Amino acid sequence: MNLNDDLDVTEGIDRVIWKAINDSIENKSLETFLELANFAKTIVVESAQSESIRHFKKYIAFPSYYYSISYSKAKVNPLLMELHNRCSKEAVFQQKDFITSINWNRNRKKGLDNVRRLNEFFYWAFNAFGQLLYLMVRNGDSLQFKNAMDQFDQIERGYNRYYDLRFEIKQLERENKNGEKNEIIKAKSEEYKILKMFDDYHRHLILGVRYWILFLYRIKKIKENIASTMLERLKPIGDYEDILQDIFFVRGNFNNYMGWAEWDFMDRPLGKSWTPPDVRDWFTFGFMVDQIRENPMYINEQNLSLEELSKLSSLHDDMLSYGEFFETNFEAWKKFLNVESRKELKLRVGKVLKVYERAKRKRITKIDFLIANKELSHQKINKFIRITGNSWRNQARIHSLFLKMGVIETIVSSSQKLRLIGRNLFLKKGRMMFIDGEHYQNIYGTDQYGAEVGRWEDDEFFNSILRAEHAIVEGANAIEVIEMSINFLKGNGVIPSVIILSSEFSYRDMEFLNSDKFVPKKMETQMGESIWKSFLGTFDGITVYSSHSVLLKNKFVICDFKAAFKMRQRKNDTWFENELRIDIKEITEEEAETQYNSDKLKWLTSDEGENLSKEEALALLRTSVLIDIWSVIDFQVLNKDAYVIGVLKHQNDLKNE
Amino acid sequence: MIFRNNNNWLKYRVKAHIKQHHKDLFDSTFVSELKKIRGFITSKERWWLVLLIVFSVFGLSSLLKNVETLNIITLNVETAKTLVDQRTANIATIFSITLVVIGFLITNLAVKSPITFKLLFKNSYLYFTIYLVLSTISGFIIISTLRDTKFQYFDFARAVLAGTYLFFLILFLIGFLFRTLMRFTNEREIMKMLHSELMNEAIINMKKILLKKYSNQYFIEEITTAGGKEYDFSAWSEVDVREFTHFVIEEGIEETPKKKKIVEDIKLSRLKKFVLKKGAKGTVYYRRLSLNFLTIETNNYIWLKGEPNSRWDKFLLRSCLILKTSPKFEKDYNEYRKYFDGKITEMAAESKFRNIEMYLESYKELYKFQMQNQNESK
Repeated sequence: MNLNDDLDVTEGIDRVIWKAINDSIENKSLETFLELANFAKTIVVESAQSESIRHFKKYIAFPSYYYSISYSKAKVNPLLMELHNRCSKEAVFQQKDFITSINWNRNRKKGLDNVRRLNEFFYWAFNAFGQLLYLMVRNGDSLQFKNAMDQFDQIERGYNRYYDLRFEIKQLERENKNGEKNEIIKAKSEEYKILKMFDDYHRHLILGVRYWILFLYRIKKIKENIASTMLERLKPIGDYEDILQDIFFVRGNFNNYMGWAEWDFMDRPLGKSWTPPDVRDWFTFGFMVDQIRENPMYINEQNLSLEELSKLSSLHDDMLSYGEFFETNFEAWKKFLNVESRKELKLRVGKVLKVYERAKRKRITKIDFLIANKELSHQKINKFIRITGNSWRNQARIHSLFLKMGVIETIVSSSQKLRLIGRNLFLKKGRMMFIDGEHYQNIYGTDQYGAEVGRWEDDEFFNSILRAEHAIVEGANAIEVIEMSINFLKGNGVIPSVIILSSEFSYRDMEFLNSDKFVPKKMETQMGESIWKSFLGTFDGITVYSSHSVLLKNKFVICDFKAAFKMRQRKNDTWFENELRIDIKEITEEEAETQYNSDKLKWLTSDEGENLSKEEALALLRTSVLIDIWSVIDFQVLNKDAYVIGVLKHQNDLKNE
Repeated sequence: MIFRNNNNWLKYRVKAHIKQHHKDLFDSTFVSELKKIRGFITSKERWWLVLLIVFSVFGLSSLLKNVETLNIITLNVETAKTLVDQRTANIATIFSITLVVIGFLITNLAVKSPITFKLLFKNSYLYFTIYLVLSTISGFIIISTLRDTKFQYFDFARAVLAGTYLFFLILFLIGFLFRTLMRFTNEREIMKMLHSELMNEAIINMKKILLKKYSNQYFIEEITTAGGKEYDFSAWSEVDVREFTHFVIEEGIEETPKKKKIVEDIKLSRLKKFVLKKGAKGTVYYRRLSLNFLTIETNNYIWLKGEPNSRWDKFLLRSCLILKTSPKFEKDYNEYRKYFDGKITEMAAESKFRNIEMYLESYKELYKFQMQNQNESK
């Protein structure tokens, strides 16, 4: 015996009864059958009274079992038809009786806790009734189906139990101006939910069977007239809020609710794997049919939560495809959709879809509002600063070279003006990058902002030194130019210490790379320093660095670096490693207002081309952020004779000369 | 057993709990003791006990000669000598007639099946009666042979008198036997008896179920309040690689596979201390245990995360359990259930709806009984 086994002295009796019922039907012994069926019924009633859900669940499905086996036996042996009729009748009666008997229990025992416990019994009872109806539909047994529905219609709904409560809650919600009644509303809503459960199950059963029949018709597994007579009897009672909750519930439920996940339209061969029809699919399909048939429901998006809006927008995507399905299969469906012409269908489908489209849009703006009002996260900001700073560090090659050479002058005095290199960015929807929670989202490419600034610094450097008066040495290839330049400098008494060339030389110019004088960098030296990436090796004993700057294309800088250049820099403790200023600023309401006023027309249209209200436009504005990334430096040439620019002349240029 | 009758031990606690919460499962102490004694004496294996009783009655009759209060009837040796043969003949005659009548009645039982025979023999004390008759006859034969022999401490007349008393008892038992047999010719009566047997069986099984259930709950409650955590799949994911290799090494030096043992009792108080002590160092995992649980894990069911139990720990854990080997032959406690199941299936197949009703009624009772006793948790 396993520890987790639910031990029970009645274990296995249900199987004995099950088998006995089978035998009694086989033997056409009505009396024995009734005796056994009565036993099963007693256990169901008894277990409901003792609140033993275990036994209740075991026996509640018996009626659909009698129905099913007697049907299949009568199908091969017509002599059993009469017994089958009797079995079906008994099954239907019992299923109804179970529900009414628990109902009786419910009236006897008061208290919310009791109702909550009994709801579980109701669930299984409705589940079993649904199973019976499903089997009848599957067998195309419209006669028994009618009987079953006659009985089902006698089940009294429990509307009066929660009707007043509903209005009470609505009233409380209206009065709840500053959240003081949240607690009581929550408690009352919970109570409402529990009291309403009975009617929910009742409605779900009808909806389930109804939509299942529509699905069977869609895949041509049921005849039109049978489907039509059966559907006549399945009219769900509930307002739009209920139906909306139902469709959300079913689409979000992945358990085998009401046994629907097992409903299938054919016997599957043993030993092969298969999946029964997807509940979400057929339930949504049926829902769409009803939406087209009746007037589309009115949805007040204002009252819906974001989660519900998300659900609606995913619902819209599914319904779109069903709309197309009806248009292509117009003839087969016009009766069920209650439309006369294709034109009318198109109109109605459009009307239905529009409701969901609205919800979809509402969702987006609602998210915008949430993002706009969400506080910025320091953690996210710091992360952004770190990423941006590191990418800047990796690309600011000349900056690193200056650091290594140590020719940097830190400027403290504010009277000395330096250059600001960097960007000021109005990042649309950027706020979502800097918030916590489910709406956080990264924007692709923002990690490159720092790298850009690094490259601009390189550009600025080359710009500065190219502008200054300097010597130029020209040659046909890299080696020639460099050697000439070195000689030139040496001729002037300058000992070159650094060669800077375009980064493409690090992989393209094989002649240079394979030159005897060039010694590529060895992996072990200097690893870890930011300069390492731009360091290529040595040429003739002079260190060679590379830069990504486009200004360096076909050019070489050969210099006595320390003698030739100087970098001036402003530093600040609050900046990234004291060197790079990175600021993220949110758009305040005032700023948003100013922005809005400056170009109303632009802001009142969304990216998707829809018109926005002023409020929405302002929210959208506030989902943006201002990003500042600045390096405050400038480059100076100390001695123009200490460097030379080598220029590579292309073959073409040589020819042209 | 007696030294375990305190709150340190799980079985004691659980039994007290069951007695308190499921009163209907228990007879009063007097009735249950009486039933126990009756069951013991009348069992078919107890022929030796009956023989012992009869012979001691014969023996004691001479020894207690000096207890004046018992000397109500005076019997001469001469009279006794004639009486003894008569008595022996009487018993033999009555007994043979009885056997004939029993045979006749048994052939006319309303429901003939091994289980009703078993029930009949049990309810009519047939074995006990037969053992008593045979022992008494042999007693008479012995004393009649000894009528001319003189022994110290042997009074012939007194022995005959004692035999006569036994004879009355036999007559009474034969009367009871007939009365019981008569009831077995009535199907409804048999059904009633079968039903009560079914319910008795259910009570025994229910007690076992409850013992297991509550002991499991008590065990978990006690260990968790001490800070233990159940070891399951979620705990698996927390095991880091280092720890995992540790476990593998542990497994390697485990002794040869042990035989499964049944947990008879658990010393909860000591276990709790053990968990509290270990818990100071980290997470303590445990595997579930309950009474009557078959397990091989007898010294390693609680351990500190990432640290295999030492020999001393294992010794301590083992010492908290009282184990017994699982019996090779276990008594079937579902005999009547099986009989009922079989009957229902049989009657459904034969369409005997009138009879099936009686069996189903019993099952309804059984369900009621189950539902009353299954309040889901402690």
